Amino acid sequence: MGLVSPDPFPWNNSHAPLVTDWIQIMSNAYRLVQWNKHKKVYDLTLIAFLLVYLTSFVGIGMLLFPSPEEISLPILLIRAFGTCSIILLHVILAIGPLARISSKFNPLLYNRRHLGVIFFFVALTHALLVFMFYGGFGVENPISAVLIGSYRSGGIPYEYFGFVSLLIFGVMAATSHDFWLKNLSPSFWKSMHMSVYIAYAFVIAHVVFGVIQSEKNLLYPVMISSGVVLIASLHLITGLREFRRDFRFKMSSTQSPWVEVCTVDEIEPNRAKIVQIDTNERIAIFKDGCTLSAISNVCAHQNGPLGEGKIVDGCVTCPWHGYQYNASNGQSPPPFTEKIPTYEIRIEGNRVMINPNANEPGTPVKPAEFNPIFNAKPSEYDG
Amino acid sequence: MTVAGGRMNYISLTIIALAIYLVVGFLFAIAFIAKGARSIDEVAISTPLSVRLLLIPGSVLLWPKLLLIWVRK
Ligand code: HEM
Ligand code: FES
Repeated sequence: MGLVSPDPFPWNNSHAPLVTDWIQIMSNAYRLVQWNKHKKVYDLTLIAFLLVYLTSFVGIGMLLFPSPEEISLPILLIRAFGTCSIILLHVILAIGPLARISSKFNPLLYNRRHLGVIFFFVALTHALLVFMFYGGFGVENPISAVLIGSYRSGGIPYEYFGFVSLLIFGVMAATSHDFWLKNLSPSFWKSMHMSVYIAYAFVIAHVVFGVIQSEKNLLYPVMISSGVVLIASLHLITGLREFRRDFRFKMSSTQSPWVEVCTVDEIEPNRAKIVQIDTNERIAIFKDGCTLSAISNVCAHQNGPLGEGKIVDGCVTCPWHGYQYNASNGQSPPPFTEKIPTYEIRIEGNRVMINPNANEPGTPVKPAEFNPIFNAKPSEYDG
Repeated sequence: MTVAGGRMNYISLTIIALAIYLVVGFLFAIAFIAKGARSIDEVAISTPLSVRLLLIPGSVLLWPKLLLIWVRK
């Protein structure tokens, strides 16, 4: 096998590269929109869905309520865009947990950014139609007609709930470009992620109070509550899974951290054995001369499988693009600065024991020494 | 006019405040697109104006935060 075999399936890489990598690798200037064939198919499918949904909503509405006194065309359009945006919002909120449950849903995750921006414009159209319609298409100041008018006529001003959520979604859509991803702080993005759920709650209040005041039909309450149950349970399921995993990990680490993973003679010289303890990150155990060292299996460059590489010139060498690391401290030799996590390792007899709690990337760990006469296959060291 | 009028004023004030915020944001956005974006991020230097126009909505909405980042540079 060649020393640096190129990655045969770059598109099959289960770890997506970090977003910051994309920005640096793809360009030294920002692009308008980053499109490729898959993203175009995604966007075209989405737009086809929108057109079919909106036209059939209005078409069926006009067939069911032929007289404009019952439901006029603007009202139908307002409702078509309103319901369309809430469907899109549910898809957006379901994608994240679905992709964590099964990788089958990853294609949906792939272009979630465009989905989000399109969702915003559908919701914005809904709101603009409301302002135009209730402002009598220019007869009255539309802002006071909608936002102040509902107070005058009494009842719960559900338009405000819609307005607040639209503002939040507006900030998210406006900051979806790579520029913002790079230049706004992690704490901004954290609060942004939390505010989606605040906005979601406002949307639900908007629809519930709006529909209660204007509709007697049971279809809306049934649909909206099943939507809420669906989103809540998806998040609960993934949350519980992760909580249980963390808990199991904590339990095993408070008992005895050491886990037996293999025997010394299972590892070929200058090669590694890849092990995975519970559902944690994979660990590569390298054999270098008469010592063993354990490092993360994940390359700092593009998550290549280090454990499938070899030790070359005393350094672990990634099989994908040849990045190198010192096995005893997880650091790339100078002048490079990459660092990966290391693991405590020890040998008992012929058994290799690992502490599955990763050290900070770049932490030096004393390699475990073994006696070649007792621990290795005789053929390995007979020279 | 007592209770309803009081609420109405409150809402009108909020709307006016929001409008002022957005107008200031728009003026800021012009300066940010012309200069600010390039001084806080070197990748934006080689980015054409047509693409930087895409940063306008975000600058209008987040101008106080961006102003801080820009001033600190
Ligand atoms: C400024 C923002 C908004 C305003 C002023 C507004 C206003 C309204 C009004 C007046 C209705 C009742 C329409 C009718 O007569 O049937 C309505 C319904 C609705 N809105 Fe909004 N809305 C806003 C934002 C949103 C957003 C952001 C969403 C979803 C993401 C949304 C989703 C809906 C839905 C699903 C309905 C129910 C459709 C129906 O009544 O048949 N709205 N909205
Ligand atoms: S993934 Fe590129 S060198 Fe490891």
